Amino acid sequence: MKLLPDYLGHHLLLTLIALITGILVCVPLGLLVTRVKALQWPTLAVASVLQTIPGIALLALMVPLLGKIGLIPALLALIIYSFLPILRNTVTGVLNVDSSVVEAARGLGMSDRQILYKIELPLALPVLIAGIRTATVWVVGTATLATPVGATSLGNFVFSGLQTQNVAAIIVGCVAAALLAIVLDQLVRLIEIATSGRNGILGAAAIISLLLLIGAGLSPMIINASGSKVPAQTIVVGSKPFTEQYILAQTISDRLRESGFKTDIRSGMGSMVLFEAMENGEIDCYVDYTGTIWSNVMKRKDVPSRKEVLQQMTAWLRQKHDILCLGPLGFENTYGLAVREEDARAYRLTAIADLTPRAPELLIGSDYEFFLRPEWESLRDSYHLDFKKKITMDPVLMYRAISQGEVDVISAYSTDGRIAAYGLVVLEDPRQALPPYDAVLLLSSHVANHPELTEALGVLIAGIDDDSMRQANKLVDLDGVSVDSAAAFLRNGFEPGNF
Amino acid sequence: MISVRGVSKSYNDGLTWAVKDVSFDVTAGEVLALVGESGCGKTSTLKMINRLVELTSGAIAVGDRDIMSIPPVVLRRSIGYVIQEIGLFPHLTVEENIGVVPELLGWSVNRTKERVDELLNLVGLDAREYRKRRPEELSGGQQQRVGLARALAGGPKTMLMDEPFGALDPITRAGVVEEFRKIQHDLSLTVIFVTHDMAEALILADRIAVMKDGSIMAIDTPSELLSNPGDPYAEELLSMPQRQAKIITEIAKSGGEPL
Repeated sequence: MKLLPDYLGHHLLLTLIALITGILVCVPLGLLVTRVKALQWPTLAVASVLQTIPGIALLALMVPLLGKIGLIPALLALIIYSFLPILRNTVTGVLNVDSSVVEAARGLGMSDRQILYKIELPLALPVLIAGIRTATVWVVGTATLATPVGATSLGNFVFSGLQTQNVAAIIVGCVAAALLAIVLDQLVRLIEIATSGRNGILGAAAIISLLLLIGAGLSPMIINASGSKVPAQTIVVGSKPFTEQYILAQTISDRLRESGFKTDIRSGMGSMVLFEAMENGEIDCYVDYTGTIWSNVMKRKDVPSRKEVLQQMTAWLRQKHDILCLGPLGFENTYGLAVREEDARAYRLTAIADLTPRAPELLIGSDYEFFLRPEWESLRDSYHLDFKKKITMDPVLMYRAISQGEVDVISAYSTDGRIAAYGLVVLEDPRQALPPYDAVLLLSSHVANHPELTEALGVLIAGIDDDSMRQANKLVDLDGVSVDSAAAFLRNGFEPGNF
Repeated sequence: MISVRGVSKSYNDGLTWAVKDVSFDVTAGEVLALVGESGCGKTSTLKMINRLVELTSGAIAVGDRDIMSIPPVVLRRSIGYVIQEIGLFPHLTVEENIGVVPELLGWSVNRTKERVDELLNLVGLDAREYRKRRPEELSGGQQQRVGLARALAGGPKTMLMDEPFGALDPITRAGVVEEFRKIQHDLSLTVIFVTHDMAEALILADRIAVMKDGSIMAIDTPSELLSNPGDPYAEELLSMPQRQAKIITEIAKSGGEPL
């Protein structure tokens, strides 16, 4: 809840900038196409097509297109999302103005410009405002999807709530977004009533409340910006979209705050988005896994020892990407194929090779990334796996799906507390199709040379073993403990005074 | 006052002609009716005078000035324009509707206000009562009175009217027509109006131009056209009210029995 003002502020900022830009672009464009009839059909068609792209896809598309994460791609996607209702209603509003009224205006000697400003625009206003209201509600809703592209919004509650099974957080996010949509919608309506009835007081009241809202929304950021002490730099901590990453991001952030740094957590980003964001300096610090970098970024197919992978990766990151690997955290979170215990017993499954003959009858479930990663290719080719069907789902849902028999095999994370809790068995990988996955702390080049920061984070290195991580994950995933508390639990492990 | 010389209009680069080589003069204070069936070119002819429709060939002068030498908006502000649909601005009050042309002409607020009151009284509406009303609060007849006042606001000497009373019910229409005649006479307005109602043309006009297929078939005073039309089409059209009157008289005589 303490994050609400911050998330709401960001959400409001995203929404209002997108809407105002949408209005500034689409109202003039709409007016233009009512004059130049040849442009009307193509313009509306393009806007309609853009609208059919699902919000999350449009947001995702902006990241590779712009090569950036965060506010800019989110804003651009939301601006595009606001286009159709504003554009269509501007055009409809103007075209619906009674032609005899326009003819009378022309006959009385009004110029085209006077007809537009004194007659057509005022008469089109109710329809135009209705379009803006539709856009407002859409944009507020779609802005919750901006979280995975690295922009803070009320979606942070929803996404992290989904991953950490925190229903309260999800509800807070939903209710806050809905309330924001209602408030903005009603304010726009108030402005419309005020203009059509030429009620100056009402209009002023609406505009003042809108400005107050903007001010209130921005105040956390303004206070943050003005009230900051040395060191002024905000360290941006990134995380991937699963529990372990949320806990680690929180742990890192807590640690940095204790040392006097300001931090900002961007959670729920995909592996490659996160890596690129670090290279661009948009993310300062996050935890990745050696095997992920090895297979996905370095494109290596060989699998040497854990130590060699770590050493080669560290050197390679430093040389090619100017990223500092501060060191391993002390635990490994490998991908593994897990099956139900009773199946393992019944079919004598102990290693992945035992699955090979049965695979054509089995369903395999995995997270958003796995089937697209080279590790899957390697696993599939090494063991000649040909499953009946591959099902992609949210990691949260995988465990329930396998225990309820909806899938037979899942790609589990070895530190996941749910493997034991759901009675799953992880199959061995004797052919070493999968690389090792030591968790490593990565720092971007512009914080790497900060001795206070590397010192603050130094305590994390080799400070978390497999068991601690698994327990922390279990606290969140199974015991319903908050991410903050799980992060505190982890911290106890490396802060001797707390034992 | 208005001189139309050899004017033609084609909407499709000469493939067909909406108006073909039309010429007539209207003297100051005279009322000319353009009559004929739908599509005969009467409305195109009217709209070419204030350049709502640009002529293809020929020349038109209003008050001795070639209309092509005057910017269209300036020309239109000096000519009153009334249409059947009235076209009052629904978002403006009666006062603001009438004040449109004075505002365009840059009149002071006070001068415009006085003019609005004067015109409302002229068209038979109480200024105090109607000034602040919206068009939607007015009856059809009241709306057309305001439309008339709006057209007169800039003090034009010339009025162009396209089926000005066509949308009104017969009783209202008779009242408005009567008032308009009086206003026209008092202000000695030069008027060209389009109608397909022969009785209205005969009652209101000093002269009538009968149009067919873009050409003027006959142009003369009502009495001359009635007694000596000189054109079979004009004769048929103009005798219509008389023939209808005859039929009505016979129905009355027959005591309600079908003929």
